[in-house]
Amino acid sequence: MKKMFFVVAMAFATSGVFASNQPVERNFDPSKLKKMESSPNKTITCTKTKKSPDGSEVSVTVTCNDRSSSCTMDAACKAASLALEN
Amino acid sequence: MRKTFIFLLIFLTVFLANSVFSQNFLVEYKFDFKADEPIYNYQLLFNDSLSIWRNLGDVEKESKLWDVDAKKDYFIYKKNASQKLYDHCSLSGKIFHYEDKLNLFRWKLISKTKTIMNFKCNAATTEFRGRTYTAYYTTEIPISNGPWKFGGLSGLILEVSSDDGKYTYSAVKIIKNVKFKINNNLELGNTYLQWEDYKKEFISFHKRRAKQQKAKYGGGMSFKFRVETMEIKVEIEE
Repeated sequence: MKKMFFVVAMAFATSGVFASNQPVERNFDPSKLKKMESSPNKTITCTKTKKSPDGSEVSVTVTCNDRSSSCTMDAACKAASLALEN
Repeated sequence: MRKTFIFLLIFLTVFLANSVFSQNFLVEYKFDFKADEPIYNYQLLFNDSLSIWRNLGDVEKESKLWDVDAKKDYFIYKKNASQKLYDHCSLSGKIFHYEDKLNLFRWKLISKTKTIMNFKCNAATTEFRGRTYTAYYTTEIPISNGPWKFGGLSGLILEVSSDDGKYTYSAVKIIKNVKFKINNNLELGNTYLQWEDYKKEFISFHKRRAKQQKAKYGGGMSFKFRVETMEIKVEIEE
């Protein structure tokens, strides 16, 4: 009787009832890990506007999208300001 | 002797007619270019044969208020004899001269009225180069003129605004019988571009400008130029 009870108990324990909330590894997506490892694309935008007494309005929007250190908000805004002046 | 007398008589008649009947006006307008921007002051000097429209910001001294120098000032010159207007304008420091028709507007009279500076005004609307404008004009000053390029109504335009709320010209001062002095020939012997050619040149100018900036900063940066005037709207991407 004891043996019978032990066999039934073991079968129940290993049937997956208690393990049903543990399927993390089965849902694991390796591509997600890859995305997390690389840095996201850096897009910086700066707009400068100049208005003139004759009613004209010029806006320059500078966008940079690279991973080099030259793409900063300061650099984009400086380029936009210079583009308006030249 | 008789011929000389007739010549002198004609000369004196023309001279006196010009002096007596040609009344010079000065009208000052404020130009409201969006509510959040400073208000600019403009001046319209005119008589029955010509008119000059210019920004008062260029006139530094009070003594120069009646003094127009065609070589130095930026202005719009309307000439009744040729039925043309001549624009002397600046584009990022580069001077352009172009001519346009004098009466560019097809007005539709509407029933609104308004009193501006004690003048009773009637209203009219027009569509012009992408915008709709409403103007208030007074027949109490029966001169077909107005701020900027506007004109073509049966009286002086005292207020005009675009229906998008972006541009408004309002008269703030009217002085009759002023004496203004014009230095240098207003037409300057320039070759004037036609309006359509000027418009093409305007767009090319900004395209070149965008290309130059792109070349200067290399491939890492992209430039978008958005240029809007009362008559031209253009977007350029490099």
